[in-house]
Parts: sequence; structure tokens; C-alpha cells
Amino acid sequence: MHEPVDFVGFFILGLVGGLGHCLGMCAPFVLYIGRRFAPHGSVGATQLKVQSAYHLGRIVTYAGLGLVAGSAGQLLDLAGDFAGVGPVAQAVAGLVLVLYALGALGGGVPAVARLGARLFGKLSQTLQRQAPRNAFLTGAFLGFLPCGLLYAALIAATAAGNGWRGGVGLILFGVGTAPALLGLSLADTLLVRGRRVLNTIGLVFVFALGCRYLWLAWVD
Amino acid sequence: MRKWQTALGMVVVALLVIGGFAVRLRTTSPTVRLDLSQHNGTLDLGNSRADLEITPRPPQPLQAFALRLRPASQVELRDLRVAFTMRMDMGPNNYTFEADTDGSYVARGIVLPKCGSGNLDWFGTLTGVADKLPVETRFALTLTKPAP
Repeated sequence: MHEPVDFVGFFILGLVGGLGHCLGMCAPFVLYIGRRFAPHGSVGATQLKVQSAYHLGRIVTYAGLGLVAGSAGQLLDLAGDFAGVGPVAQAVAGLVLVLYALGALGGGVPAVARLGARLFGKLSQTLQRQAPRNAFLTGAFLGFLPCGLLYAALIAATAAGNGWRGGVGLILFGVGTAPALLGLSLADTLLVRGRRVLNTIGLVFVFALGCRYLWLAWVD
Repeated sequence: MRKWQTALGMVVVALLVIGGFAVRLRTTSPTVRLDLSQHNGTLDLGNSRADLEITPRPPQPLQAFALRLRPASQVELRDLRVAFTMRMDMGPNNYTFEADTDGSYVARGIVLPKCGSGNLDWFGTLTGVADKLPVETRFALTLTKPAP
């Protein structure tokens, strides 16, 4: 029998997991959100607003999944459906990251990225039009990414055997994950985006992680 | 860029690195002698031994399985629980054992998350009290990737 996790436990799970898990897995999305939806040079309040909208979108999705998991009282059916959606979300997210990074790198490292940016420019523009138009919807979509820590929270919500407890638990879990990721976006704003070389390294990181997501979706 | 911005950014990075490092220390892979990935195994309970069985096999991510502990001799066991971890933090995957009618102890409905990176290597830490003595045993469990 799964040991019960109370509301504080869900929050702690997110808080600790944010540092030990989310910083590694979700960092490229935080960098992407900041660059795509908050213009360069925007003040901290704008960044915070955009990043908060992204996290709110994630949390809304988590709440829905927690509600379903808690109501179902059994993870197996839910996991089967969710696991089917996951690789698709992973592939789309990976593609968006790769194309966005290629497009952005085109201006920063001309010799290396000009050709790639040209080749992918049109495709990137098309995808950007198809991609969610604001940070909230992007977060809501990315909430469906297959994530081990999210699965753990959903398993705990399932053990709760109650829809609203599962939903509230997942909201607290999502809120708990936010500080580490907000810290990352703050560091990105203060240290990276104003410096061309570091910003380029950040975009290469986004590109590499996008490729990794595409690869994981392919092998899944 | 203002110096205070750089300083604040460095402080934030330092806090994130320290926090991440502290969490990683909690989930460092332990050294284990028992591997339940392919076969059931036998645990040392101090003055006694017990068989540890997994059903059904092979254990897969997001698929429920049971872990049964079958003592080889008459031994009083209580507060048995098992905690599963992997190198990356995967939250509290803790399960309690219940006494079964045949004298064994079973943790039912164990469901382990599917790692987004494709890692299938888990570690279980079984703790409890055997004849009033605390016991703690670790074992490895590599899940099997579901067929496409």
C-alpha cells in the first residue's frame, strides 16, 4: 500500500523535486519562455509575469490530472492514456525548442548558424504560429510532458482515492516546483541575457535539450 | 550591466547549485548486493532470512506489482516498509507491508514512475523490525521497458 502523502507532503515533493529534478529537465523551457514571451531588456516585473503565467498553465494541467487520478483511484488506465500522449508532447516540445534555438542563433553566431537558420526559418515561423501564443497556454501544454516526478505525484494522488484531494495535492506540487524554476529564470535574466556569449551558450543549451527531447520521443 | 545585478544573479545561481547538490546527495545510488530485476532473492534479517518475491514479472514502469517477503523461519516482523529511489529525485515512492494469511508480508499495488530520460534503474530500501532488532536492506531493481 502506498504511504499516504498529505498536502504539505505534496508541496515539499514539488519544492525538493524542483531543485533535484525540474532544474535538470525543465531548464530549456524556462529559458525558452523568457526569450519568446518577454522581450530582451524587459524589466523584472515583465519576466516575472510571463514566467508566472507559464507556471500557472502547468499547474492548471497538473490540477486536472490530479483530479482525474484521485477520482480514478487506480492509476493503470490513466497511466496508459497519459503515457500515450506524453511522447507526442515530448516530440512537439523538442521540435519547438530546436527550431526556436536555431532561429535565435542565426543572429548570434552568423558563421555557424546562418545556414541552419535559413533552412529552418520558414518552418520555425510556421511552427511558432501553430505553437501556443502565450506563456499560460504553453505551460498548460507542457504540463502533459512525461515526467517521472509528475508521475510520482499522480501515483500519490491516486493513493489518496479522492478527486479534489488529488487536484489540490497536484496544485500544491506544482506551486512547490515553481521557486527553483523562477530562480533559474531570474538568474537567466540577470546574468545571461545581457551578455552575448552567455546568451548564445544558453541557446545552444536549449537546442541540445530540444534534440534530447526529440530523441527520447523517438525511442519511447 | 549593473554590478548589483551580477552579484544577485551569482547568489541565485549559488543557491540553486547548493540546493540541487543537497537533493542529489539524498538520492545517491547505494551499493547493493541483492538484485531483484530478473530473479527473486533472499534477505538477511539478522538472526533470520527471508525470501523476497516480485509478482507479476517482469516489473514495468507504471504497472502495479507486489513485493512479498516470506520469512524462512518464525520471526516477529513489524513496521515493514519499502522506499524506492533512483539517481534522479523521483519523490516519495514509499509502500507499507501488510501481514498475509500464509505468514508472509506483502506490499501490494506498487507503481513506480516512468522516468522521462528512459532510466529504468531503481533502488529499494526495505526497513522494519525483526525480533525487536531494526533491519535495513537495499536491493537493485531494473524495470523492464514495456513492449511498443
